Amino acid sequence: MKYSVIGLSLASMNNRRLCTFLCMFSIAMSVALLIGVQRIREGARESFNNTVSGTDLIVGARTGPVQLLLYSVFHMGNPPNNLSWHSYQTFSQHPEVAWTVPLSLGDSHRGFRVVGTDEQFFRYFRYGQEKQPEFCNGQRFISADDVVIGSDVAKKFSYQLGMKIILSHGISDVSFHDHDDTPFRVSGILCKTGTPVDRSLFVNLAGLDAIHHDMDHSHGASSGHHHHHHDKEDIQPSSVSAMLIGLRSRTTVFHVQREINHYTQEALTALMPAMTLSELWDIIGIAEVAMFIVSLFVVFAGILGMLSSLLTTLNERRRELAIIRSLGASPADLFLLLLSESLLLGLGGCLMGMLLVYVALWIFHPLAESWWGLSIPVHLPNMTDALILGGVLLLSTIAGCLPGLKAYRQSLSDGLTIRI
Amino acid sequence: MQHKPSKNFVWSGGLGLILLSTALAYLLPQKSFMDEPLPQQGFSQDASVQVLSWKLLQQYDFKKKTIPPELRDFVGQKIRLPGFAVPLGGDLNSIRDFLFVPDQLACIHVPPPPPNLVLLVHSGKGQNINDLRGALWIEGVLTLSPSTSQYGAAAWELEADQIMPYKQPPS
Repeated sequence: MKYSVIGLSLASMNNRRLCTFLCMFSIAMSVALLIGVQRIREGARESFNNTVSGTDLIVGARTGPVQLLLYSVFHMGNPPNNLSWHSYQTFSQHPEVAWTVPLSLGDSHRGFRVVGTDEQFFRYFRYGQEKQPEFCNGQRFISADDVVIGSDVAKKFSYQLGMKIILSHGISDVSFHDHDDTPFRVSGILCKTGTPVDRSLFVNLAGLDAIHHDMDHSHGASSGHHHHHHDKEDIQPSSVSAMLIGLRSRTTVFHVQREINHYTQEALTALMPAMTLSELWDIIGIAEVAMFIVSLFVVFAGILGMLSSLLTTLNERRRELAIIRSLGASPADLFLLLLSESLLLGLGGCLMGMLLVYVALWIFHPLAESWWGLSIPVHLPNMTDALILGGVLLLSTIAGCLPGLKAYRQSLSDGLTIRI
Repeated sequence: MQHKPSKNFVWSGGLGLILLSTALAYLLPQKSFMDEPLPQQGFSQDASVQVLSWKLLQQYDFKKKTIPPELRDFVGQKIRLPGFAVPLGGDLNSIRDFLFVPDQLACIHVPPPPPNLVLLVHSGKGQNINDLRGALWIEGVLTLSPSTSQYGAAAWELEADQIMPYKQPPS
C-alpha cells in the first residue's frame, strides 16, 4: 500500500481537528504578535523619519535637544519657555543664515495644535524627500484672521473654505478658555503629508499674538465684542516657541550651532535634526528590544503548547501508531510522521498568523492614523517577515523531534502489543 | 503490503533542505562592509586612490581663499580619508548627505571644526544610520565647491563611492 508521510500526518491531524486547530491558533497568535510589533515599529520610524527635512538647525529656549525636537516638530510636549523676538531677529539676520521659519505653540482647536508662523513656513518647510506641503484647497493665510488647516483636521470636522472657527487656549480637547472674540476664517486646506502637519492648524504670528493681547485686555470685560481687527497686523510678536534655520552653506552648521548654544544674551538650544532624531531612536531602541524579547517568549510559549499537546496525545495514539507499524512503517517513518506533524502545525500557524496580522491591520490602520497619526505600513511580507516565519517554522520542527523520538522508542518496545 | 520508502526519503530530504536553508540564513554572516577585503591601512590596493590627511586639508586657507599646490593636486582626484560622519536630512534609513569631520565632536572645550576640516559628503546609495556610526573610511572624488558662506569661498565636497568601518592598524 502506498502512503506518504505528509498525507498520513494530514489525515491524523484531521482526525483530531480541535486539538490541531488550537495548536495552530496559539502559534498563529504568537506569530501575529511578533510581526505586528515589527510593523508598528516600522510605521513609527517611517512617520518620524519623514517629518522634517531640509532644515539645518532647530532653535528654542534652553532645553534638552530631544525635548525641543519633540515639541517643535512632532507637537509632543510643551516648550518650557519661549525665545524672544529679539533673538529671533538677530539670528534671522545672521550672515550665515539663508532663511528662518518662526513657530509659536500653545494653542489648540478641538484637540488639534495651532501653530503660529509666517509665510516662510510654506516656502521653506520640507518633509520626506524634500517635499513641500501643498494646498489641496485655497491658499495660505493673507490677513491676520486667516487659518490654514491640515488634511486630518479638515476631514475630521468636515471643514470647508471660508468657515469660521474658534481657537482655544491650551492643548486639551475641552477648553474653558476660548478666544471667542476672534474667530478665524479657513483660507486654505493642505493636502495629506503623512506628518504632524496634517493634524495642525496654521495662523499668522501676528494673529496669534493679537488673540493673546486681547486676552489680557478682555479679562473681565462683560459687554459686547471687541473687534480688534485693525490692531492685528500692527502687533509685533513678543516671542516665538521655536525657529527653523536654513544655512547658506551646510558645512558651517557646527559653527552656527555653537554660536547659538553659547549666546550670552539668552539661554538657547540649537539642534541638528538628524543627530537628535538618532538620539531619540537610541532611547526608543531599548523599548523596541524589550518588546521584541517579549514577543519571542510568546512564540516559545506557543510552541511549547504545541509540544505538550503532541506529547500527551502520543499516549492515546499508541494503538494508531502500532497499526501503522503493522502496515510496514519503520520506526524511522514514525519519527518522520511526528516531525512532519509539528512542521505542518508550524506552517499552518504561520499562515494563520499572517492572516491575523492583515485582518488586524485592516481594522486598526485608520484608527491608528486618526488617534496617533501613526501610519502602519501595509505591504506584502518582506525579508524581516520571511526571517521571522522561517524561524518559527524551524523552532516548531526542532520541537517536533521530541515527540518524534518518543514515538520512535515506543514503537521499538511496543511492537504490536501495547504494554502499559 | 509493499510500501515505497523512497517516497518518504524524498519528502524528508525536501523538508530537510528547507530547514537547513532557513537555519543557514541565520548562521551565515550578513553582507556588510566587513566581507570586502579591508584595504591596507595607509594606502590602497588601487594605486590611483591616495589617502589624504586632515592636516593637508586644513592648509586650505578659507579666509584668504588660497590653496597650496600640493593640496590642489588632490582636488578632482579619488581619495581615501578616515573620520566620523554626522548625518544630515530626515530619513535615517536612507541618508544621502552627511558631514565628515576628523573627530567625534563630543568635546565642548575646543571650537568645532573650521570649514576647511568639514566635508559635505554625497552618497549615491542611501546609507542606514547604523552603518555611519563610529570611525569610518570613505573613498571618493574630492571637489571644492563654491559656497555662499562668509566663512569661505568654497567648501569641501566628496562624492562617496565606498564607506567602510575603520580598523586600527596593528602597532
